[in-house]
Amino acid sequence: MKRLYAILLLLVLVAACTDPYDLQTNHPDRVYLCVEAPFTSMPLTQTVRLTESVDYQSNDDVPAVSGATVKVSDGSGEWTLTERAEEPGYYDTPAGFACVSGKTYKLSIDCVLSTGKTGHYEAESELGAPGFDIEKIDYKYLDFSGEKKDSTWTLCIWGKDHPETHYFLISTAVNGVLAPTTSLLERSMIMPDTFFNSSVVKGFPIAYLYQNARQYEKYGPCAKFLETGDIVSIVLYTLSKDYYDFVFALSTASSSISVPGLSSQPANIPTNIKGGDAVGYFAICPVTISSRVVDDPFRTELIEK
Amino acid sequence: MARKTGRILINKIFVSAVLFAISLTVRAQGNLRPVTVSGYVHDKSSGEAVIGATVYVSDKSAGTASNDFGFYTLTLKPGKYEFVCTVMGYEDAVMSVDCSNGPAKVDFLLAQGRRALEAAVVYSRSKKDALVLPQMGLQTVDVTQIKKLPAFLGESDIIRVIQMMPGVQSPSEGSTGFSVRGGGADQNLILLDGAPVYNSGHFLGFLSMFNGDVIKNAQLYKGDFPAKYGGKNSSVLDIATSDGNKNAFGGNASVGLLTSKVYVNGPIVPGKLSFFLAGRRSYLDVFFPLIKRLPQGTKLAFYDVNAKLSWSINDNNRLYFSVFSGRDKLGWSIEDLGLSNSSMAYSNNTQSIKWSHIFSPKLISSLSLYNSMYMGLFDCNMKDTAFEWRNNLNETGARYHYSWQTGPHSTICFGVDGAYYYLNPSECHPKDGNSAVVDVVSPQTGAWSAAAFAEHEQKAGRLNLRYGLRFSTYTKEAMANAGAQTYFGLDPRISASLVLDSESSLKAAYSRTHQYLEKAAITAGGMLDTWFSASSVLKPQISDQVSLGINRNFMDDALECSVEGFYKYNQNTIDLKDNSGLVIIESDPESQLRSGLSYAYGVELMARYEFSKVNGWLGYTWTRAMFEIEGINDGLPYRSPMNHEHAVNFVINWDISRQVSLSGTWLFYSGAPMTLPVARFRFGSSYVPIYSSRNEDQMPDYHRADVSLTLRSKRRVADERWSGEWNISIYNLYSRHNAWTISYGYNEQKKCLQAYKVYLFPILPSVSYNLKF
Repeated sequence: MKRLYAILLLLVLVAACTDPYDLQTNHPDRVYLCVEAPFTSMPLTQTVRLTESVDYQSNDDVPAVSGATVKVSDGSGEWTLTERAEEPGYYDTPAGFACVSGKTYKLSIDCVLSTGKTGHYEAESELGAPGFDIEKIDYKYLDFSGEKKDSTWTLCIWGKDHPETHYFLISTAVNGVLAPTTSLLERSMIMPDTFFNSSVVKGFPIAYLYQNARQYEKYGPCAKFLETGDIVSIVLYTLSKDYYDFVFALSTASSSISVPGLSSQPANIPTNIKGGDAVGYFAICPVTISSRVVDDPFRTELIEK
Repeated sequence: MARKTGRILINKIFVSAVLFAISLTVRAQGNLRPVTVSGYVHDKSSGEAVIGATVYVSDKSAGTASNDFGFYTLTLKPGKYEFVCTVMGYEDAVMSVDCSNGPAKVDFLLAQGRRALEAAVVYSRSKKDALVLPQMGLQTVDVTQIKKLPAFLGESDIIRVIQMMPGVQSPSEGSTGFSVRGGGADQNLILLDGAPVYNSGHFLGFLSMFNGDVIKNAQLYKGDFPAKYGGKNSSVLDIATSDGNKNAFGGNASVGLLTSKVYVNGPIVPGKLSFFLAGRRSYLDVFFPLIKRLPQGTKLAFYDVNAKLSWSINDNNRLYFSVFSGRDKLGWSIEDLGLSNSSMAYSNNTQSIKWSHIFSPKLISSLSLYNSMYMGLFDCNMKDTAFEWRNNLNETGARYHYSWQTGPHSTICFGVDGAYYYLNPSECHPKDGNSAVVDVVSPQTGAWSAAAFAEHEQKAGRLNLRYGLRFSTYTKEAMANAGAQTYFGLDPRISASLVLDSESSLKAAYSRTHQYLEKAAITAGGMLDTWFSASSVLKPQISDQVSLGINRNFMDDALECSVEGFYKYNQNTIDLKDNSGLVIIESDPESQLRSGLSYAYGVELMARYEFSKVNGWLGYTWTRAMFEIEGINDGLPYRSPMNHEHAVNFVINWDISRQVSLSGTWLFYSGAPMTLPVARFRFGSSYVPIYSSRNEDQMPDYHRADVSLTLRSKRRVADERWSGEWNISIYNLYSRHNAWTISYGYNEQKKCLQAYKVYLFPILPSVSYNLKF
C-alpha cells in the first residue's frame, strides 16, 4: 500500500517543477537529544545510541553525545552501559543482556549537550508477550525479469496469530546475521495483524529480502546474495501499540515531501523520552525467530503448503 | 462562561425578534385588502423558466423575484399597475395590468438582449434587492457569463468563479475544492437539482464536475442559511440545470485542450415537454504515452453526463426529472513491481424528481425526491497481493417545501425533509485465491435523518426581517458493536436589514447549523476520501455564525459596496490526528480522527461595478480560522490549513464590441499555514525532521493574473442558426511560481538538505472553440 501511495505521489508530481526555497522560521536554534534504544528479549549486547539534532538544512552529520552516564534498571538490578571507545555515542549493555517478560525497565541518561546544557532524561518500557507463534517459513525468488537478474526474495510464514490486535516489526537474518540494530527500519517493515488477526496463517508473504552488492555494502553479511545452503530467518518483533506508532511515524516522517491533500499533516513523531528537548524511543520487544535452509535460491514456487 | 452568556443573549434576541415580527404581521394584515398578481417568467426563445427575475411595480412600491420554477407572486392593493420584469441577460419587459377587480395572472416572456453583454458575472438578484433583503452572504452566479472569464486548460468552470468571491478560497493551486470562511471542503452542501453531490472534483480536483453548458442558475450561501437548508456548516451551493428548449431543437459542441463536450436540447411536446442531454469526456491520457517519466499504461480520464426532462403539465404543475453521472479513473502499470492494470476511480451519480404545484398564487409547493451515490474504488493488481478496495456513500431522500405569501410583504416558508444514508467507509477484499490480502471491512452504517422547518420573511417599513427555525434529528442504526445513536438539533436562523436610505442599508444575521456527515480528506481530488457518520465517537458538528454588514450603492447603483463581518464558532470539528495512518486501510478509521473546537472570524469587502461596457468586482477578505483539538498540537490552538489571512480578488470584464470581450482576473492571498521543520535528527540511517507547532509557519504568498479573449462570429450576433465562439485564455499570465507545496531533498551542490518550492502551473495558454447550433 505504501508503495502504491508513493506511485500516486509520483503521478501527481510528475508535472510539477521546483525552485529552491529558503526556510524562514521564527524558531531559535534548539538542540534535541536523540535516543535510540531498541532492546529485545534476545540475549545480546543491547545498545543505546545518543546523538544531537542539527539544523534542518545543515550539512553536518549529527554529533554523537559522548561521556554520558547511561543506566538501565529493572527494579531489582541496575546496569551501567559502557561507551564504545571507537564509536562515541554508542553505549552497550554487558554481553548476553536479555530482558525478562513482564518486567518494566527504566532507562536513565545524564549528559552534557554541545550547547553546554546538562540534562537528565528517563524512559520506561515493559517487555510484553509475543503476538504470533511461527510454525515454519518458506521462500521464493521473485524473477521479475525472467532472466534471474533480480535479487529479491519473498519470505512466507505459517503459524498462529494470538487474540487481540498485535503490531509487528518484521526483520530478516541471513546465516544468523541480523540487520544492524540501529538499521532496523531499513531492513524491515512494520504491520498490524489486520490481515490475519487471531487466525491460523498459511503462507502469508510477510517479508522481502533485497540481497545485492549495494545492500551488502550498506548492511553487511545480512544482505548477501542468497546461495544454496544459506539459512534465511524471519525475526518477528512484537511491538507495543505506542512503539508501533513511533516506528510508523518515523517511517513516514522521513519521507521528504508533503503534498496538499495527499499527505497527512506533518507532526513531530511521538517519544517516550522524558526530561526536556528529547526525541527517540526506549523500547523492549519480544522476538520470535524461524529459519529455513536455502535449497535452490532461484526457486520461484513455495514448497510448503 | 462568556460563550454561555453569549448564547443566552442570542436566544433572548431571537425570541424578542420573533415576537416583534409577529406583531408587525398582525398590524400589516389588519390594514389591507390585497389582490394577488402572479405568473411565470420564461425565456422567449427557449420557453425555459427564468429564475431570479425581479418583477416590480414601476413606481418601485412593491417587488419580488421569480422562484426556482420561474413563478412569482405579488400582493397589492387593488388598482392599475405597470409591472417591470428585469433580470441579468435579458431585455426588460413592461406590462400594464388592471388589478381593480381581483387577482391577475401576468406572464412575462423575456428576450435575451444586450444586457447579456453588459452584465456582470456575479450579482445579487437586483441591486435594490441586495440592498433591501435581509439575506446576507448570498452570491448568485450568472452562468451565462462564466465563459467570458479566463478558463483553466480551456475549461470554464463555475467553481473557479466562486473562488473569486470574498470569503471563498481554494485549498491549493489549481484545485476546484473551496473553503468558505475557513471551513472545510466537507462543510459545503453542494446541490445539483436538489441532489447532494459528495465529490465535486474531476481530474485530480483540478476541474469541477459541473459542466457549464447545463447550468442555469447557481447560488452560494456563505452564512445566514435559509431554514430550508441544513446538514452542512460552511456554505450551500445550490445549482439548477437548464430545462431544455421548449420551442426548438438546438445545442452546442465545443473542443478544448482537455475535453470535448456536446449539449443538445429541444422539445418533445412543443411548449410542454422538453429535454436536454449533455456529455463531456477528457482525452488528455491520449498524450500520456509521450511522457516517458510516467509509469507505463498511465491513464487519467473522466466523463460526465447530464440529462433532464421538464414537463409543464399545466399552469399549476411542473415536473422535472434530472440525472447526472460522472466518473474519474487513474490507472497505471509498473511491470517491474509486478503491478499491472491497477487503478483508482470514483464516481458520482445523482437522480432527482421535482414536482412544483401551485395551490393558489399565494401557496406554492415543491416536492422533490432524490438519490445520490458516491463510490471510490482502488483496484490493485499486484502480484500475490491483488485486492480491491472501495467505499460508498448513498443518500436517498425527499423534501416537501411550501411557500405561502400571507401578505403584501409577508411570506412564510415551511416544509419537511427526510433522508436515508448508507455509508461504507472502507472495504478491502482479495481479488483471487493467490492474494495474500485478507478481508478488511470497516463497520458499514445506515442512518436516517429528518427535519422540519418554518421561516417567516416580513417587511415593515425600513425594517426587513427573516426568522425561522429548523429542527433536525439523525439516527445512526445499530451495528454489531454499537447500539443505535440518535441526535437532535434545533437551529434558529434570523436575519434583518434596516434600510437607511435609498442607497444604503445595515444587515445582521445569526444562524445555527448541525452537520451529521463529515469527511476525512486524504487524497488530491478526493479519490479516496472517506465520509463518516456522526456516532457515539464522532459527535455532530454544530456551528453558530453571527454576521453584521453594511451595504452602500454609489453612482446611481453602478457601484455597489458592502462590508460584512462574521464570527463562526464550531463544536466537534474533526481533523486527522498527528502522524495519522491511511484512513482507507484502517479497520477502525475513526481512530485516526480527533474532534474539538474551531472558530473563525473575519471581514469581507466587496465593491462591484457595472458601467456600460465594463463590469466586475474587487473583493478583499481578512480571515482568521483556528482549530483547538485535544490530541493535536498538544491541545493548543492552531491555524486551520484553509486560513489564508488576506485575500484580494479582482475581476474585470470589458465588452469591447458585440463580437469581442476581454476579461481578466487577479488573485492574491496570504500563504496557507503550514508546518516547517526546524531541526532534524538521525534514527538509524533515517533523517527525521523536528517540526514547529502545527501550521505555525506559512507558505509564500500567492498571486496570479489570468486573461481571456472571447471572439464571437458575426453570425451569432445576427442570431443565425450556426455560430461559433473562440475563447483564448492565459492562466498565470506572468508565470509566477506559486508554491503548491514545500518539499525537501538533498542538494548535491550545497551538500545539504534543501527545501524546494513545488509549483504546478507556470504560464498556461489554452484555447477552446464552441459551436452553437
